[in-house]
Order: sequence, then structure tokens, then C-alpha cells
Amino acid sequence: MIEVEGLSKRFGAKQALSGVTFTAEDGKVTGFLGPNGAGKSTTMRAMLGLIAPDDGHALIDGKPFIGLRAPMRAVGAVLDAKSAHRARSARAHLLALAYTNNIPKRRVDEVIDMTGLTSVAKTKAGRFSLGMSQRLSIAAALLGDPHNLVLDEPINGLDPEGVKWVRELCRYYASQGRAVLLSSHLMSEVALTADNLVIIGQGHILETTTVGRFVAEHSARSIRVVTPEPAKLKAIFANAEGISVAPDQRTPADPSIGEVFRITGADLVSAAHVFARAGLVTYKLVEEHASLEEAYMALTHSQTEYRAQEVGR
Amino acid sequence: MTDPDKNQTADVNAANANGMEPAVSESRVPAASRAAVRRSNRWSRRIRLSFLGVLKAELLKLASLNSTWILLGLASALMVGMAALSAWTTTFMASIDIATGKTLDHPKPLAAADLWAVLASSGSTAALVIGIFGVMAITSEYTTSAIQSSLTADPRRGMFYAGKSIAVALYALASGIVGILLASGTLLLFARGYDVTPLTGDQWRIIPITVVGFPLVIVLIALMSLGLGALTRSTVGGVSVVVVLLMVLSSVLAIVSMAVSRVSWLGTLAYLTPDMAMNNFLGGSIRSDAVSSVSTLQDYWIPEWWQSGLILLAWVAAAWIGGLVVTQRADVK
Repeated sequence: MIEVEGLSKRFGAKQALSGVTFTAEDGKVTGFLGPNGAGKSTTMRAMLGLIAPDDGHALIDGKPFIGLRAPMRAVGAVLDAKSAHRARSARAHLLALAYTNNIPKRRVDEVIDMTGLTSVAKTKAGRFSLGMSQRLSIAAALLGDPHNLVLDEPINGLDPEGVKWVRELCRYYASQGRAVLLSSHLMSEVALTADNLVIIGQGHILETTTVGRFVAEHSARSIRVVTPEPAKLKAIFANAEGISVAPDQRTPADPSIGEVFRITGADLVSAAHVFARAGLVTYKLVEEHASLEEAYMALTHSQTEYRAQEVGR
Repeated sequence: MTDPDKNQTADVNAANANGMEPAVSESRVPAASRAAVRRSNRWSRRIRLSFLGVLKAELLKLASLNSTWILLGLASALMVGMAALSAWTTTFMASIDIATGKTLDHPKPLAAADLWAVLASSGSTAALVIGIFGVMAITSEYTTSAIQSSLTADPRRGMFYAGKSIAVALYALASGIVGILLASGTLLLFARGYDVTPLTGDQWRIIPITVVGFPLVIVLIALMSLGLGALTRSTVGGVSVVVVLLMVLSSVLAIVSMAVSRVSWLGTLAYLTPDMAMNNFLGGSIRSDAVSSVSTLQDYWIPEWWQSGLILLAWVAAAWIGGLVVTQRADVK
């Protein structure tokens, strides 16, 4: 279990973390979500004693990381895809890390096999692709068969097979009763893997919840209608309070005739009945959930630090 | 940690029996992990951070880099090369008549003190290479972000720094010993056939200074550079400081003191620089024809050999402790 309590850190003029508090429970995958520069990496580094926080502390299974007798058994961490000396072979890198904690040599070969690095074990780490480097970082994290996994954007650079493998690894470690903290800037990725959610923006925790609850709260329902009679449709809801009708973009899945509308605030069943009574012709009538990505964007939009201009502006 | 249950064990055996090789695939990753957990219960209790383990890791880290062998080899080669060059000069001077420039039928005997001095001073160029080795041993951790995995495996930074220091010292020591042994051999080859006058009076101390002092100085230079690397956390910065301290500073001070006769005390200041301290220490304050004795005629204070040793030690201690403090305090981003 990883407990983070009131972590604050300032880098020069920038307040990187302000009172970050959350817990990554045993037996759960905790998704740590936030835009670039939100403080995910800083929080993870502070947990592991790489950054000294100005205030607050982090406990690994109830103890500060720095004082642990067997750090690699307590925590396996992937903080950066590139975490090995470029001129050192993958195996020598892992073996050196294993030596520090008196981990037997055969465990090194074991993690090399597990991460699919067997054929490149003697290759210098500097010649690895991003995906291979990521696998090497994960191999290093697994060396001590740790009770807690801390993974900072572990799927960056991985191929689809590798992404799936990391997902299964996270689920497997959680099923063993261990704590997994998984950071990402992609909601879709975390929603597939995580049980709990911690959302951070500009150094503040915005929300601590579970994936299920987040889905229930934030996925607003709407109805999409394709009709050749837009005036009639607008007239039906003209006086209805809390219901809005707005033109929507046509997708390839829509019929190519008629006009597309999105109706929010209306119930599917009653809308269908009203349409039938009014004799409205519809080519398509479907209820949709707003995507999790949209809900997450809405939550963090004001907190985004590095924002690109909209395309075409 | 959960105990492995029997059913999982059976699954793993079945998977192994089917000849599934370890690679990333859908179904067998959990199987492999499960097998790992089963085996890990036997060894995971013994996992423990220890200083010996950290030292072993640092020794392996250095041994697994080509740059280590190149730099250490170059350092030893430079020691031998310098010894050969000065040995050749010494024997050449003994075999000619300095007044007429003609070759003597019977060369003058060589002074043992001169030969020892040749040996003792053969490391001054190699010191720079050893310095680069010391700097890179720690700055490469930062420039390649390997420091993150190093400090996650061993969050006790003092232990990490001490382990690295000892590893660097051991490699530098090996290079120094190999260098001086080969240099002695070279010197013997050159001095063959010449008469050698024995050491006289207090000249005997050149023997322990060379035999013990020389490798020690190489180790000290390596540790000072490691400290400077840890202070700057940048290869360019660290190497620059080493070059300034080992080459530029003393030359500048010596030149200025010669040019401006009124401030000749700058000459004393030059003796406080690490490289002059190193050379003066290894020279053993012995008057010798082979070692340039211009400086001994100056009117400013020149430290004794042992004082120079202490000056060098002070430089090393300051740089190493400074590096320790920065290593312990700095945030690793």
C-alpha cells in the first residue's frame, strides 16, 4: 500500500505539487491521471525519495521508502523509459541493480525472459527502441518481485501486444494483493486497467474516485437523431425545459440523408413515444454515452498547463 | 505475499510441458509471473540492501562500460610512455659530454635518485585521464538517467556515493599499480648497462613515496574528480573543472608570478594547486638533476613534500565531501 499525505513541492517559481493526498490500496490498480506537467512524475519521484518534498510525506507499506531494508522488494518502479546507461548491456544493467539488493542472478534471467528481452540481453541499452527500453525498465521494476508497483506512463512506445501485456501484468499484480499505481495521460488506457482513479491537475488532486463511479457520474447521456424534418423536431422540444436540441456532425455510420441532431436532457423512451405521436420521420434514433475521455477533458481542461492552439486557427 | 496455490502450480507445469517459451504473449504472462512468485518465495526473504551488494554493483557497472577500460588503459599507457620518455632523456644525458655534445666512451653513472624521480613523475599526465574517468563514473548516471534506477534500488544516497567512490578508487588503484609496474620495467630496460649510484642520505624516502605514494595519488585524483563530477552533475562541467585544477590553474599562477616579480608569492599560490601539490609530493623534496630545479631557486615559500601531500588531501576531501553533500541533497528529476 502506498499512502501519500499532503505532498507539496515548489520548483523555483512553479508550484509543482500542492497538498497531494491519496492512497494506492493493496489488491487494486490505481490509475493516476493528469495532463502533461500536472505533477504525476513529481509525485512518484517524491514517493521514492528522488525528490525531497517541501511538505508532506509518502509511506510504502507504512514506512518511508528511504529507510526500507529491501527497497526493491517493496517497490518496483518504472519512472522513465530510458533508465539504463546507454553503453551498458541490458543484462549488466539488471545484474548491477540485482546485486544492490542481493537478488540472485537467476532472477535476472527470469525477468529478461518475462519481458521478452532474451534475444537482446547482451545488446547495449542505447541501441534499444523506445519500446524495448520500456521493457527493460519494466524488467528492472520486477527484479525484486515487489509488493508495490509504481509505473509512470509504462505503455509509452509499446506496441499493441506490449500494451496488452502491461495491462495484464497490472491486473495480475493487483490480483496477488499488491498495490499498483499506474500513471497515464490517457483516460481510455486507465479505464481499461484501473479500479481506482486519482486525477491530478496543476499539482492539485482534482478527484479521487473509482472508475465505475467516474463513469456513472461523468458520462452524460444524449440521443442522436437523423431526420428529414428538422423544423418538426425543433417544434416538439421548443417548450420543453432542460432539453436542448443541437445540430451534430455527421459520422460515416450515419445515414447520408436527413439532418443530424443531438438531444440532451431527454429520456430515450419518452422521446421515442413523442416522436411517434407527432409522426416525426427518423432515419436513426440512438442513445449515446459521452466518452470518458470527454468527461476527463472537461474536468482537466482548465488545469492543462501546455495547451496547443486548436487546429485550423 | 500470498502463498502459491496448488492449482496455479499445475497450470504452470502444464504450460511448460507444452513447450511455451518465455516471451510476451497473452495467456502465459500471468503463468510466468505465477511461476516467478512461486520460486520467489524461496529467495525473496533474503533480499536486502547491503553495502557489499552496492559495492559489487558499482564494480560491475564500471566493468561493463568500454569507456572504463579505454580510459584506464590510456592512463597506464601514458604512465609507461612518460617513464620511457624521461628514462630516455636521462640515459641520453648520461651518455654524452654536456660541454661538447660528443658521445662518451664510458657513460656517466646514473643517480638512483634520478631514476626513482623519473618513475614518480610519470603519472602527472595520466592524472588527467584518471580525472576524466572519475568525473564520468558519476556524471554518466545523471546524463543517461540511470541515476533514477540506481537510487530506486538503493535510496540511501550516502551508501550509493560511498560504494561508487570505493569502486572508482579500486579501478584507479589497479590502473596506477599496472602503470607503475610497467613503467619500472621500461625504466630497467633503459638503465641496463649503466652504472647506478646508490641513494644517499635522506634520498631513501623516494622509495616509499613512489611505491606507496604514486598509486595513492592516482586514487586521490580519481576521488577528487568523482567529487567534482557529483558537484557539477554534468560531464562537461566536471571535466572542465578537473582540467582547470590539474592543468590551467598552476600554469597561469606560475606564469604570472614569473612575469610580475613583485608578486612572487603567486608562486607559492601555484604550489597550492592540486597538480603542483601532486608533483611536489611525488618529488619528495629531493634535489635531482632529472627534475627541473628552477623552482627551488625562488625566494618564495615552497612546501615540503609532506606538506604538499596534505594540500592534495585537502583538495580531495573538499571535492569529495562537496560531492557527497550535493548527491544527498539534490532532487533527481
